[in-house]
Amino acid sequence: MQPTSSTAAPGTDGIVYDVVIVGAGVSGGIVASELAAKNLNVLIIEAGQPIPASRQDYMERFFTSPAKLPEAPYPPNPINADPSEFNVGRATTNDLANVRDQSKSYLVQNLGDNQTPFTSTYERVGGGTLWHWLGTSLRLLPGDFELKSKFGHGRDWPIPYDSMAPLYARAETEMGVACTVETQQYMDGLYPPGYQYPMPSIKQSYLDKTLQRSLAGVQIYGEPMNLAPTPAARNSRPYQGRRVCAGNTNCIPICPIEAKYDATVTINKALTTGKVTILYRTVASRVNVDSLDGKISGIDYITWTDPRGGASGHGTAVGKFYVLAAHAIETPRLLLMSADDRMPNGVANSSGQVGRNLMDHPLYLSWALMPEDKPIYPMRGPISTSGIETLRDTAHRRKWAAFRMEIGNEGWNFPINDPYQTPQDYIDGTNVSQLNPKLEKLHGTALVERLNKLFIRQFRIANLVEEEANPSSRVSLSWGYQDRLGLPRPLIDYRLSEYTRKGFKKARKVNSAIYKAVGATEYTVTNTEDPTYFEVDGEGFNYFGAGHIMGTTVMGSSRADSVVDSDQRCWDHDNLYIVGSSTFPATGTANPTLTIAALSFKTADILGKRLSK
Amino acid sequence: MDDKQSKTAFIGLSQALTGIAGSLLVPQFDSMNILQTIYDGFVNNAGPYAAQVILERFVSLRDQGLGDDEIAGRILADADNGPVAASLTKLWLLGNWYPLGSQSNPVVISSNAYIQGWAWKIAQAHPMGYSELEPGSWAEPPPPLGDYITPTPQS
Repeated sequence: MQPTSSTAAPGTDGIVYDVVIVGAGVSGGIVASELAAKNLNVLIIEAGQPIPASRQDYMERFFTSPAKLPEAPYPPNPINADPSEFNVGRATTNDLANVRDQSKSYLVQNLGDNQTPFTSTYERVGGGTLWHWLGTSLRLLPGDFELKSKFGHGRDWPIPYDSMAPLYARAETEMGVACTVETQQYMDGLYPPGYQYPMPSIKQSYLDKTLQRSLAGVQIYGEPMNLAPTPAARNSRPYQGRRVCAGNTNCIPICPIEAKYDATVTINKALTTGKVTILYRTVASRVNVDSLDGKISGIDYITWTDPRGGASGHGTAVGKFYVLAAHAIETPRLLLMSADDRMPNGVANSSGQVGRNLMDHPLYLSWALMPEDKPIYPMRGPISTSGIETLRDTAHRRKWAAFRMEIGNEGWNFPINDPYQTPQDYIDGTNVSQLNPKLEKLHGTALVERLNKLFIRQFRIANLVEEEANPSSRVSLSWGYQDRLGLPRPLIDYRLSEYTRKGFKKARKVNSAIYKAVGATEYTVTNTEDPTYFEVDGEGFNYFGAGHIMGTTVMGSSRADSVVDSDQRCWDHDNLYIVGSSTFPATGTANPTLTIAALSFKTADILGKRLSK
Repeated sequence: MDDKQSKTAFIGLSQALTGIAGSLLVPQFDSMNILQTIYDGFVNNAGPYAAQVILERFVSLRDQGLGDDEIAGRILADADNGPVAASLTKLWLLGNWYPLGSQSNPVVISSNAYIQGWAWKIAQAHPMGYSELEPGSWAEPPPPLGDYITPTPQS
């Protein structure tokens, strides 16, 4: 279906920008900011709504949302809405409750042939998904770049850790990462001598400190269970005009005070140069390729005004260079939608790898209660302040997928939606939480005291398990299901590999051993009816999405089997680059944003050099 | 009952159900207008008739000289008032009105109702997304529960 209006869109007629970027998130923002600082002209086209003048608009949406889900503050509200009615859809938690219902799920999930759903979500709005990231800013470890050559799984990165180190330092400065180098003993020898982060670590929670004491000397699978303060882009000191983290326990869905870095920081910096133009509500719909030289000649876009109103106009953005920064589902979708008779598999896809190798950090969640005499007082501080990183890069990776372990400060909010569930159990006499086995109904002081006794002992551990690239896990196009602009929605094929499944089995063993070591009682439940249910050696598991969407335009050292090179330049098109985690050939064991940012600096440097010639 | 009597009964009923002193549920200087917010949320969602029935029942039991615990127990055992009382308890604790007998599809009364929810104080914590605690205070235990739910003695 073509746009219904031929009204010319404003903003790009006749202008040839130095660089046209698709997507106003962290990766596009960094590229724009770096190039604007070099006096180059940049156009960003962003499908979603503008960055609001004040985050209070989003805060009010959060406060008044019945379910405080990651997407709750951000427009449009997806609850009980048909994604075919929206110009700009995105995967939300609502999708996950309706994975088989295409009238509710934006992602069209193919669950045949023992496939399971892809469970991470993202935003399409000015500022991108970093609006609701946790802030975790770990570096990948050396072995993360050598998964194939060192451990025999998946793919290697075409980049060694050593060349990433200076890029990580730039990303850490841009984002304002709080970390005291000495606390990261598992990184020993990986920082240059004397390296310091922009500010010291955020204080560890009382929970962290309690666990650390109880786990002193405990080793599991040969590794010490040390809790390290997690490097995080949250201010432990005022930084670049932003406030100190006040511990609102709300990094996800939204930091109320912008103490946590997000992409709007860098985008606003880019805009102050006067060299960057952003067109919001502007959906890239086709990447055009010059038939003579194979270069990109323009990016067609569709504009809209009403979120459900269809197209209001269209146009073509023209630049010397093009950067796709639309995250790991929308970027391959755009390339695949750009297919024509000359390129029936889509743009940048001579390798056939566009859309393939879709990965996440499938998340194993477990939860427990500390003993009555050892309360740890959760629901205070940032959502997580520490992790156990010692099992990330060990020889075990030959046999099972590595993982990092995130310690949660938000009680049982993630596992059972407390503090909402347990009070209802004790008011109604139910036992959804498992904390009311006698089905008691309490009121008054007895209710308060019982709830207090339970709340102050709740904690959880989340294991972010790595994945190896698998070409069969992929994003393709679902022509049978379209958005309001008539563009095909993403069709998802996904399954966990045996390697990752084995990692889950070990994750459970490690977590349960920790609970035992600290005297906690475990309450983890597995739901066999959930579409994420799978078994390893007869043992059942569920997984959650970590929100880390990766792969789909992987980088490599050969044009035969990868989409971009180590500079994130498309092998097939000299003036087309892709930034963001879609280029990751292996997930590694760190949350991806810091690596996304580091690689965005790399690509911005290269573009700057090429444009200065 | 006139409006003032209804609100007085409402505070008394709320205290009996939640175990939290009426002077804390509705502070003397109610700058957030929490009484009107929660009261309106209650009447609008329970319906004026059910609201009147439960408040009259509360007044009747109180006038018999019964204590809070006894009053709450009897009202919660009523076939008609019980579910209303349960939803009112949830409203004070969680800031949401849950349809009678249900744990799903809540109505969020307002951002203030969320922020003033008592579950957070019962956890010796703060609402997610709204903290007035000192940065770094999460590294140490919070003040005791009594500091959150016991009225300051009148001087």
